[in-house]
Amino acid sequence: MSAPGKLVTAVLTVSALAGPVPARGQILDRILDKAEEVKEVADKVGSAVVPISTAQEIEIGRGIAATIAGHYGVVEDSPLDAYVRLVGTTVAAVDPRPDVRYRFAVLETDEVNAFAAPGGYVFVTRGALAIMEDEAMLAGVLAHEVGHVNHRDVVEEIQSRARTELGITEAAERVDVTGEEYLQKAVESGASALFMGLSREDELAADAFGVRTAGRAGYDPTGLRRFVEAISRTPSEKRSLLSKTHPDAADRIEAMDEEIGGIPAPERGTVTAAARFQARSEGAAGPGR
Amino acid sequence: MTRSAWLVLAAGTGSLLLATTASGQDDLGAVLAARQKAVPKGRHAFQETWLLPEPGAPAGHPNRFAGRVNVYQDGPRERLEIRRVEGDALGEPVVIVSNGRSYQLVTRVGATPFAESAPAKEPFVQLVLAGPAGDAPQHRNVAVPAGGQAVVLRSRVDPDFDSGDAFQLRLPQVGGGLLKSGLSQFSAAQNTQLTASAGARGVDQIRTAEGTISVTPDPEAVRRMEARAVSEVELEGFKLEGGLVPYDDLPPAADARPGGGR
Repeated sequence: MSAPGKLVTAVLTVSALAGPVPARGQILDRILDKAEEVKEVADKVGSAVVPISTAQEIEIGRGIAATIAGHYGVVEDSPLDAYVRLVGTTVAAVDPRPDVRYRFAVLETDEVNAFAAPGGYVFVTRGALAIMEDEAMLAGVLAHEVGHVNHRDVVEEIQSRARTELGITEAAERVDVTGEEYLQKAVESGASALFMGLSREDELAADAFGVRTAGRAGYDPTGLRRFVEAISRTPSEKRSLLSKTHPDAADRIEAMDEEIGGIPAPERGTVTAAARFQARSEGAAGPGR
Repeated sequence: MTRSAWLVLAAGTGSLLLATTASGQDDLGAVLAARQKAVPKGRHAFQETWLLPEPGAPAGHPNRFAGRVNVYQDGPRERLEIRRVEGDALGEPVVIVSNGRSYQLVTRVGATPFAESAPAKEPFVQLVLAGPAGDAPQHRNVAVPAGGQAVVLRSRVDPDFDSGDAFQLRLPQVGGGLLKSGLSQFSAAQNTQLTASAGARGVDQIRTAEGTISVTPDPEAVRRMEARAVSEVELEGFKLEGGLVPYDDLPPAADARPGGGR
């Protein structure tokens, strides 16, 4: 059956869920399950209808990165900037996408957050660095962002939004993926996706990637988990956007604990590099905005 | 000695001195014959990171990252890709392929008997070839003829490579060859041009979870971000200093230093 055919079937199945009368909770569960199936099929259809090549992904990523950089400002030519680049490059090299180059920068804000634009553009804020205690925490956060790049999460969100906004048939007929207008819309859609939040599944998958990848680089894989704990101790005004765009800390920590428990010993690093982090991130809490 | 003492962060361009190890073609022939015999059966792949002493350095002076070697084997066939540090990056690989009978230097124009080629006279290449083709510890010390000890770290790599490509006696005309080492993408030499398309300029409004915000995009900041690359030498120095993979197994104590007791 074709993908659109499956989509129609799934939608019809949702509306025909009557059957023998189960308890209300069961009905709700079944509806949610079917809705998830519909979303999965629809996402596949969206990818097919609105293809985005790696070259386009990088171009879209540049636009989103320019938008993020413009909003917060970027820390330029500082030892802090160089240090973040080294940690980021270290974790990105563990399991790199061969078709992108990873870039890392620090955003000049005391908000606690980190972003990954498509094509390898990764940002972490001064505010996030200020609540970290060691390099393993930074490695975990950057590896989480690299996970979003590797999984093409924002790209898939752009495709999904194009499908939703235009409808599948219309998207197929109207989207000129080679045009500048399309790129501009994709940048707008992608930036919005980052600031509105990716799906819970995408975030949890990036967490899992983050702890595994940091561990494989030689870092203590609990760094990301400890960062998420530290977020919850941060004043709410400094983590407002992050809290609205990510799953609950408790859910993330529970899922990461499970992931960390499954990391085989040879891939479970032990380095925290607290002293190096303290020495080289000095000034992370800098002026901010 | 701590791990950090191994580090030479200065990415100077001074070359490392290695005296010629093989006195002539006969010696090299013996090294190659022994290596060929030692290539294990079946498919194997590994990567070696080489840390070499600096010329004239006193005992205990830290070694520095000097090169990386990737080896692919499908016994008795073998392919070696040997990259030396040039400046602060890894240079083009010397590619050596054995068909099970003889070693050839492979270039983009074809193959020549390795023993007759210019790289055969390079001391670093000779050191690499003299190393174990079969099993070896994760780190080992190797005496360097000019003095001191090299430290070699070996890690296994997924042997899922294409034998057709690996043992071909000519390099591809375009591209970086067989490897998916991941490091090439961090090379500062790669083109980082920014296309001034509408996409790259960014957008001036973003819908966020806290409402719509106005933005003045900064494509120049992205251009500067793209221009700043981490060199391979800098990256290896950073990992070595921190005891990160592949340097996590290096004993931090004195027995692992150049000239130490291992």
